Amino acid sequence: MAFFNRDRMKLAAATGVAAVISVAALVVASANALPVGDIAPAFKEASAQGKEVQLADFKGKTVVLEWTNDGCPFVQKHYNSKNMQKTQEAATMDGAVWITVISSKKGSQGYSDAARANKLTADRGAHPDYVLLDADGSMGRAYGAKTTPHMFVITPEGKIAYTGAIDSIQSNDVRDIPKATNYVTAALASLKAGKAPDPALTVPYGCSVKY
Amino acid sequence: MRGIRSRIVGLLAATFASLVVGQAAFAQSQILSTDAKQAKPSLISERAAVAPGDPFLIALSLKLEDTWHVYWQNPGDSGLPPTVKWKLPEGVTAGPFKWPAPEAIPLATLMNFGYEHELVLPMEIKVPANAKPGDKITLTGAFDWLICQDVCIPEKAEIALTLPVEATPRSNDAESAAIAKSIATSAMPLTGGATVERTKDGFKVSAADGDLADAAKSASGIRFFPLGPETVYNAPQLFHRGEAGVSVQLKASDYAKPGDQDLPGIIVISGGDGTLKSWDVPAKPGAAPAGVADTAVKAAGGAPAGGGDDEAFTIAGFLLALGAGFVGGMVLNLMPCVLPVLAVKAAGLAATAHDPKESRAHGLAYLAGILVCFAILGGIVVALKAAGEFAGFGFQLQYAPVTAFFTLAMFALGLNLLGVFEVGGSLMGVGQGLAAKNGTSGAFFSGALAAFVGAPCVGPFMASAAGWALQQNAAVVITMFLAIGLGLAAPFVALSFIPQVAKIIPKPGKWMATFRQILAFPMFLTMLWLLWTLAGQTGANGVIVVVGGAIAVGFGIWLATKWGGSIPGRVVAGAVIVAAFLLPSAATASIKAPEGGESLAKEAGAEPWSVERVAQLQSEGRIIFVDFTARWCVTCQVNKQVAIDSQKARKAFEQNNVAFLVADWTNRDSVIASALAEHGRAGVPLYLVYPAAGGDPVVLPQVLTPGLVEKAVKDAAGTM
Repeated sequence: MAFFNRDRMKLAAATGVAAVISVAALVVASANALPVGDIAPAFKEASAQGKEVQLADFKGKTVVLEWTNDGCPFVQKHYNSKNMQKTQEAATMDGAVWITVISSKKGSQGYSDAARANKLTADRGAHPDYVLLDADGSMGRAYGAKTTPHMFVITPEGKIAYTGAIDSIQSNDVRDIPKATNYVTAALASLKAGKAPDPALTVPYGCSVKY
Repeated sequence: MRGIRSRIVGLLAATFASLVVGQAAFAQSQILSTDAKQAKPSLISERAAVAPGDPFLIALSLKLEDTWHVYWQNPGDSGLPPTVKWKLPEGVTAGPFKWPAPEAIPLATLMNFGYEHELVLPMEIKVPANAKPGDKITLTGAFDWLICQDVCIPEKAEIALTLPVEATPRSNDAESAAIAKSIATSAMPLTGGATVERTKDGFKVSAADGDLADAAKSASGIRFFPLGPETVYNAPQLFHRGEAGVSVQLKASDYAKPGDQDLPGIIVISGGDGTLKSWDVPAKPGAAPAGVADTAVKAAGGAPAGGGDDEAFTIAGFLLALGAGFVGGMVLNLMPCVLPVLAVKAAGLAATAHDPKESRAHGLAYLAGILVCFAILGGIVVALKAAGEFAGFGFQLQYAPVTAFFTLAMFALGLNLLGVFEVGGSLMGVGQGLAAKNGTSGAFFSGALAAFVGAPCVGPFMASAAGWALQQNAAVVITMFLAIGLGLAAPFVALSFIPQVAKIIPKPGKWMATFRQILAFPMFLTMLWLLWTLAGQTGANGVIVVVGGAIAVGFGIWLATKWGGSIPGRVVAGAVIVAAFLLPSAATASIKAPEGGESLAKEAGAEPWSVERVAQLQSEGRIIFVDFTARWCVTCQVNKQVAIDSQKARKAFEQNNVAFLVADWTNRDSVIASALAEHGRAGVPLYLVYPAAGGDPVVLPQVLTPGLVEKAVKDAAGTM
């Protein structure tokens, strides 16, 4: 007859009450986290230079990621004006590692194999340390790259310091470049001065990444 | 000769005169330069002739090649809106663009806002009062726009529009009709206010306007377009409508600032006949006005909530839903998730069957336990709804600590049934009177337990009724929960009131101890099921923590049986047991499953579900089978094993190149919850089959058979 004895009753009571309380408590907690400040997702991709490149290779160095598609008018705006090349040159001279990523899938605009990517770099007079060939889009998706260009700055500790647009004026007009604030240059300067970039998160603008 | 010549001269002069007059009488649009290939630009005017001081509308008209689009003022995830730089005569001014209602254009994983086929983009021109009739004014605009398909091309055109100034304005009928058609879709001011409240994962925007509410009633689509990047563009939007207006739940993007903020946008409603209407929604932080959220509305591109019109509240619908809830509750007794608790209950029934009075008391206590638990769950669902969350049946097991706690509870219950411990007996000599009282409380809590573990099993009869009820007001939600509870309790309550049952059940004796021990194994199996659910929520780490907790629970119980006789022993053992329950459960709150590591989609060899993926596959003309499932949903697992994984179904999938998507709701996910709500459901399972020809999906029943899946796939292929 001790089947429904007191301890079972207590157990059931405790279970019910605790469950209800924990449900209520959990609903109140937790919020949306921003990607800025997060650990940058690891990647390992073939580069146009022939070597496989991974994020861990650059521990201790500031890394800039640039998503590109040479057919995109917004990318052309920043390359035809030499704005991107100048930004790359200044960043790499200062010790940062510049990685250009091509996530266009095979057959779509901007898709490049190693030979085409190297020719593009030469033709455009670009200064990336590496051009990564991410035709399967795995790296682009891991970073949530939406547009070309879409920029990421990663601290020497491997945390995302800046993500968003290349500059402050959303347009495809070359004439806007001198008037705009270059967010990547600003973020690199902030990191160098030991400060957190501000803004650290902007809305990227450009063409969709051709996944 | 002379006559002929003078006649020719006269004819030429007349022709020339008519040309000049013609030039003076009609608006002239001339393209000065353009590089446009995918769009055909022109400037149109609602006036053939303008009058001094008379404001009027002109518009940039872009006729687009098929499959190309241009952008709204907020282009969405990519793109740029058109711009203009004017060269205007002295005193003439041009106003801003009056944007017609945009459409949402999905593009792979992104969402764009803009226009396909044609854009007529009006703006107001003001001619000064001192303009002289007989003069002409020329408006020269340099327009830039980005036109995209998959790829994007910037295009531009410099266009001059020359208009004669006359004493009274004259209309250009054809062009003013085109402009009026565009203006009819541009945003109207709201008659009431617009508010925005912060929800857990986004915003709830409410807009008060009687016309808007009316339009929402017969809408074939409805969407909120934000002016800025605060919201996720491609997340589903769940609309509710009341007599006074509408409200919409939006998910926040990474670019949303924390805290309260303005959220300006427009709401666009497409009518049944395809016409668009839009309202300005300059939402400011504040509480939603009353009467904007009574019933769910079909969102853009989604299926109707609750299936057509029946989401509206009617007494008949209410009674029907309550009936379905009651029957569904009864069927719940047969669901695997409730069985272990029922086993305990069965043992209780066996024990009391020979004392009619005690039997009745137990039956009623059991009923009360179920009802109280369902009322609490209903209350939480209502509270979550008010906070802008979509909770469904089974939401309690979406929290890892709850799952963990239950796992340990099942383990302890199993040990108790096996006879490992009898703490109750040793703690205090239980008198006969007390035992009866304890038994009643025990029945109460076994009822509560049955309700708690039973709720995740949305029974086959309950799905649409529960889905309907959850979109109604608080009283209806709670009444619905109570109806289900009543159904769940009904069989046992009935049995406890029928004395004849006693005759079937053998008298209590030694057999009961054996029966009890056998019942331990359903408990351990339940524990296994909960651990598997936990694996989906926390990965292996959480499972290890909880199994560790189970060992600690066992240790605490052993301590209690060994030294439970002394006060210090009891305290130590009690502390160990409490810690063994609470610490691992709390720990699971911060353990997350590895990203995509052990998702049900991966286990099923399927792709994870997303709204964009469905849109993309639909555009490719694929048949799509979507399985909304969760680890804690036992019905889902049964369907998966029996029907979806059957050779027949798999063959049908293969032959028809079916895309198999899995939406795993094991963990809380407001996108999946709102997708369920769009189909009038409050829980899983939900099976959708999108036909190859596109359009709305077919909703399959909650209990699948291989033949049913095969037929659904063949139907979906056949409609091509």
